[in-house]
Amino acid sequence: MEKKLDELVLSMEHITKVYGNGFVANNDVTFQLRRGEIHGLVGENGAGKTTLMKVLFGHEKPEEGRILLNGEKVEIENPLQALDLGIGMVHQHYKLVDTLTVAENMVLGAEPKKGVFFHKRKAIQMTREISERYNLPIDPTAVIKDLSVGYKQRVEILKNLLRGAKILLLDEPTAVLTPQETEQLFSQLKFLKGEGFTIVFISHKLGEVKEICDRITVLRSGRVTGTADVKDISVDDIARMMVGRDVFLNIEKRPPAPHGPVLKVRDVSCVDKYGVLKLDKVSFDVRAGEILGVAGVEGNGQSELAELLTGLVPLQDGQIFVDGAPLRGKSIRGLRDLGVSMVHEDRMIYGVSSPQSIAENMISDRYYKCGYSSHGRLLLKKIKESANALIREFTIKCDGEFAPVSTLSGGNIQKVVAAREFSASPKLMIVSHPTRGIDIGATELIRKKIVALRDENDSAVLLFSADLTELLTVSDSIIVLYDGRIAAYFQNLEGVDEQVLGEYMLGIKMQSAQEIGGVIFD
Amino acid sequence: MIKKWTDGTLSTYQIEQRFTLIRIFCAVLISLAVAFLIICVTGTTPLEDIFVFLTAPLSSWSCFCTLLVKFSPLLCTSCAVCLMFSSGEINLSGEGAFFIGAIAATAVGVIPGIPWGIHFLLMALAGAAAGAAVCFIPAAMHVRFGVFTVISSLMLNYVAQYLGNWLVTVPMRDPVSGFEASKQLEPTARLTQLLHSPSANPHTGILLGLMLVAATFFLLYKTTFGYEVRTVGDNRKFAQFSGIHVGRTILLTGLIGGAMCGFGGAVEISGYYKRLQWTSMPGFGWDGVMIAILARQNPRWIPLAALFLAYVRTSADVLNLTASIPTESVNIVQSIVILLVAAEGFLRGCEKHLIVKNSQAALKRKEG
Repeated sequence: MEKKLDELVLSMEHITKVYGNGFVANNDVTFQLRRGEIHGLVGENGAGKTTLMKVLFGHEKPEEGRILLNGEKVEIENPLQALDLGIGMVHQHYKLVDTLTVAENMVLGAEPKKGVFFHKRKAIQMTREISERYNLPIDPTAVIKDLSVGYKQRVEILKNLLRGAKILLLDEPTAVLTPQETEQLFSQLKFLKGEGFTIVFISHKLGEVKEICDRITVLRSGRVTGTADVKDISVDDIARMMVGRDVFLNIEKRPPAPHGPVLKVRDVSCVDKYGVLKLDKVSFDVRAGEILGVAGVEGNGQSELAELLTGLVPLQDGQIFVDGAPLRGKSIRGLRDLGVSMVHEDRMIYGVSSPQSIAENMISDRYYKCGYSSHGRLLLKKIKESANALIREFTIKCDGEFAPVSTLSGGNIQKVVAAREFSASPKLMIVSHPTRGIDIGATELIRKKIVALRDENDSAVLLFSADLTELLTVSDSIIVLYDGRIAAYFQNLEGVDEQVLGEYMLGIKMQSAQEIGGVIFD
Repeated sequence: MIKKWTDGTLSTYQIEQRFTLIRIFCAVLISLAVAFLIICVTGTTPLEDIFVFLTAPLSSWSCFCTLLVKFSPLLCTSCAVCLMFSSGEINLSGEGAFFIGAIAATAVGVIPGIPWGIHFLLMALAGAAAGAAVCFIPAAMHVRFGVFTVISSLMLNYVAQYLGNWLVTVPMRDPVSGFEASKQLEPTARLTQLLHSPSANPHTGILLGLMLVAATFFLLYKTTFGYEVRTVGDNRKFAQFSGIHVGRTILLTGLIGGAMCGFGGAVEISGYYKRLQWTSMPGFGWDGVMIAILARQNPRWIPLAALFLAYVRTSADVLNLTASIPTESVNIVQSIVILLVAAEGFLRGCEKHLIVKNSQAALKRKEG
């Protein structure tokens, strides 16, 4: 170890952060950055990566520990101070104003002025200069909402560069990108590294970390489990450091035995409130005993399709049948009574009522049914028993069935949702992003439960996911949505990988009408 | 439900539960301290006055009866507000519903020739129906047209007040009385007196009120309807996505809450008055809001919260007579309690500190 001290550009020492709900997010974490490196910060969701970066960026104040920048102790109270010190952060959810232009977003908060007026031309010029200097081309006059996710991210990066950031923190930058966009991002990051920038790359996708990072720091439940040069270790080593055991995310799965269609979607179109066509004559079937995955870049109609199918928005054009019965005009209760279970992508809003107890959250779709109530009276003892059975079956970590859902971690909250929806023995299961942002243990369990639903309950499952690995491991067949239309249908997934899906997701390729028509089984 | 963890530490949930109680307790203490301050500043014999303030309601039989009389009308409106707030609707038309309920009950109460018992039953029904109609309006406007319940219900109280005033002073007015009041209630329309004292006579309405508290608790926490109400109140979108009929639940809560207020109005009239002579609204609907907030929207705590309010008010009345301290000073006490109880952030720093320390201790113990 003959590393010179001045190589360290940043050193966070013995950081401990406890949240107001008692969750210890960082426990005595020491994290060091060398100048000009790409440093991977990896760990499961909930391991404390984002928290550590929030501490560094001044969003959170740690209970213990200190931060040294270029060997000097600094106090970072808020993000503005962090920016002044040359630390910039690209958040997982971009902090951009959708209705403003790129240039306006770039200078927001530090606008160039001409007298008392906003100097628009100067802003555009500044944007153009910085984007040329760092080889990140962008149109300064484009409005943010018209940009693709990849370009929005580029605006975020440029914004930080414009503010003089020398250390860039990227929080799961590839989570929403297609494989092609990810490649682009990586070449940009390598370029920035060559320019002397120091980059922190937060991710739990180990392949990417291995590809782009120089060194990594692994976190597990709030603690550092190791720091290493990437070239010295394998992906399996990293996975073991992350999880503390060997991981098998590849699910053992029998070949599917699909039969009669349960869900029939015919020529469904939908226009959003701005009059934009979001779905354009989409038709497909989901059969009993089959898991159909839906792939697509966010904003290509998946959310709209899911909301139509779950009865959240009324059907505009086309027809949907569940088990032969038309969906039009049915209330959500009516749909659920037909045997439809649904997991919404936003679990905190649609999945749980967080002030209420676990038991109360587990009966929200069945409290009125026999076995949970009689003559309008809740059978509290039976409700408690069935909640406890589900808590055991889904290994939910909690104080007991009476604990409010707000006291649980993200993964356990999603398990509560899954426990309720999966235990309803549905004929049709509509699942959106079931494992987004939850830990590996919960992910593993939920994926297995989806497959079990297909095998043991003969359910038809429609799986929306932005995680292509998930789609490829869990689904039996996949449709790809692009611009509100089905761009491809893969009846079996042999030879289909992320690269192939990516091409259809980006609209580079499109299958013939006949190939796509294969998803209809009349 | 309090159970210790095996290693003797508290869970975060338990700390939060305790702090809810501590918060209310501190709020009451601070407001009493302010009351003492007011007494010290305005009174001439502060020590005596403070003693009177603390003990007045229990100092004599008549004061105790006054306490009960002040206590009784608070119960029904509090239950109603509890129910309506639990559904997430800030429906403030309870005041109007109480008033209109009392008037409807009076209209039935002046009809001669109905046997005792049945007469009160009819009055209660009339009151409840009228009250239900009042609180239903803002609920329906919200469900049907998306009107903010807070605003529409607040405005509706004015409609209720002037409609009520007109009813009392024009069609229902007793032409032989020298002041603006309704005809006298029939003797068969009066509730039985429970206790007797020179200044106030508590009536059986107090028992009806307590029964309503128990019924509201049962409704909210033991029935499917109560489950719907609380789920709609805690997370409306979740309720909708689970298949609960959100609109129907809100409408029903408005109806039932309004009926409780109207029932309260009927009880108050038939228990305490010979005739209706209110020219402005009595304020029990607002008190209900205050008590529901103090009770954290759980009917279980309504009697205690209502007792607190009735107690300080009785004290203030007595002080007003014995010392030159204005009754209005008690309003300051009330406001401070509500402010502090409603302030989610009050003592939050303390609570967080404890939770953080507790988690760190638990972690150390686990790691040995």
